[in-house]
Amino acid sequence: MTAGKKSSINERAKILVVDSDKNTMKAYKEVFAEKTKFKIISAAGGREALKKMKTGHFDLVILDVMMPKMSGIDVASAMSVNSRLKKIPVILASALPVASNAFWKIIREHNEFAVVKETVEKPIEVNELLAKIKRVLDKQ
Amino acid sequence: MHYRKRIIKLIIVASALLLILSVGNLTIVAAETNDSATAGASDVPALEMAPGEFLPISVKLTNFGSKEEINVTVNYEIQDGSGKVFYRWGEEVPVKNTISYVKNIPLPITLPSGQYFALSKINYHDQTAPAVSKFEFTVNRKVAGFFLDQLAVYGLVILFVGAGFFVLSRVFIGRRARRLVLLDYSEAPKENRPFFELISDIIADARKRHGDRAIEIAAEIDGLVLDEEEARVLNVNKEPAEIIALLILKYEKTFKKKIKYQPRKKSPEMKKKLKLVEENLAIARKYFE
Repeated sequence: MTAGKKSSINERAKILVVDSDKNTMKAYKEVFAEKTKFKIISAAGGREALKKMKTGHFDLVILDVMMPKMSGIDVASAMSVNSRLKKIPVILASALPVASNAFWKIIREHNEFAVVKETVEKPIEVNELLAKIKRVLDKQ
Repeated sequence: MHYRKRIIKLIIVASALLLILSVGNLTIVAAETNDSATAGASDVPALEMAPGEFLPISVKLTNFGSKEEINVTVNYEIQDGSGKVFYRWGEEVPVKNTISYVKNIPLPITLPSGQYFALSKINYHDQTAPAVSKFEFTVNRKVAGFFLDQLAVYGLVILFVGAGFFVLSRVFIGRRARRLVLLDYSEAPKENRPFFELISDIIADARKRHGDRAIEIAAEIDGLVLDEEEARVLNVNKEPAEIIALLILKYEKTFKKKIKYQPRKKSPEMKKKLKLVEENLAIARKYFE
């Protein structure tokens, strides 16, 4: 994750970050702690994420795609068919080309991606991520 | 052969012959025509023929001296240096103004290799000394359509080209072989070693097939730290199964070929990781290919 200049985001949103990679999770926490006042909750896998979402309230989920046991696609799909969870916006974050036009076409055409509102490709540019978070939160 | 098609221009200046004929000085005629013919023959490049081939001779006869048609006898001979005749043939040619034609002389199949002369002798009426023109040519045997001396040259050329290809192929194979060498990771942390090896082997195989572009692609993967000179894996900062899946996906997309991979040693942990790689690849192939 590359650091940019300080953002003006200071909303106290509660964000669930789902990523199986410890280093990536650590980077997320450091960046959000430095640049925002978000309340960050972490989940190391898809199942853990769904469990936390069912018991708590979240304003946004940042979701990795390639995770063991339950992929980000499976999590998004499970959220999309749940009446409460489908209201939580998701930002898909992956080293896969999730920002490509081809993938956005798939997102728009498939119900399993109904919760996906934004995508960011790894390595993540911090300002881009913060701008997308702000955009998604503003729409809520 | 290109010079087989070349027609030897043997222009016999019969004009002087026919002009002098009208005054009746045949001795001078023969000398003059001989000189003229010799001068013409000296422009002809050295000719090499094989027994059984046709020797083409271009003949031009011009009648300056008379308005009447004159019958001229043209005799053709093939002689060796000692004057021994190997072929003789004659024909009568009517000449009114100018006549040009090509005579193809068949060289006897039994003609031995050596230097020969082709002669054209022109006679008419009761002329005592004929006008003679001649040129020299060489007869050599052919093997498989090539003269023996050419065959030696071509053989040497093929030998040199073949040797060049052999040297280049050895160099090329040597480079490929170097690329195939599997890097040793015995110094790597034990828990990461199998993944370092697997990633390294995938890169080495892609490099062998597609060149150094394989290293450039691998170096672009987030979380994979490489020594780009040697293509050695220095570290993996992210989940290895994700890195492996991304690497395979990128190679398959770039090189349009299915990437096969296999760990050097199979362990239960490696099996789990490979299953995860397969799952990641399945997602990647489903949505991102």
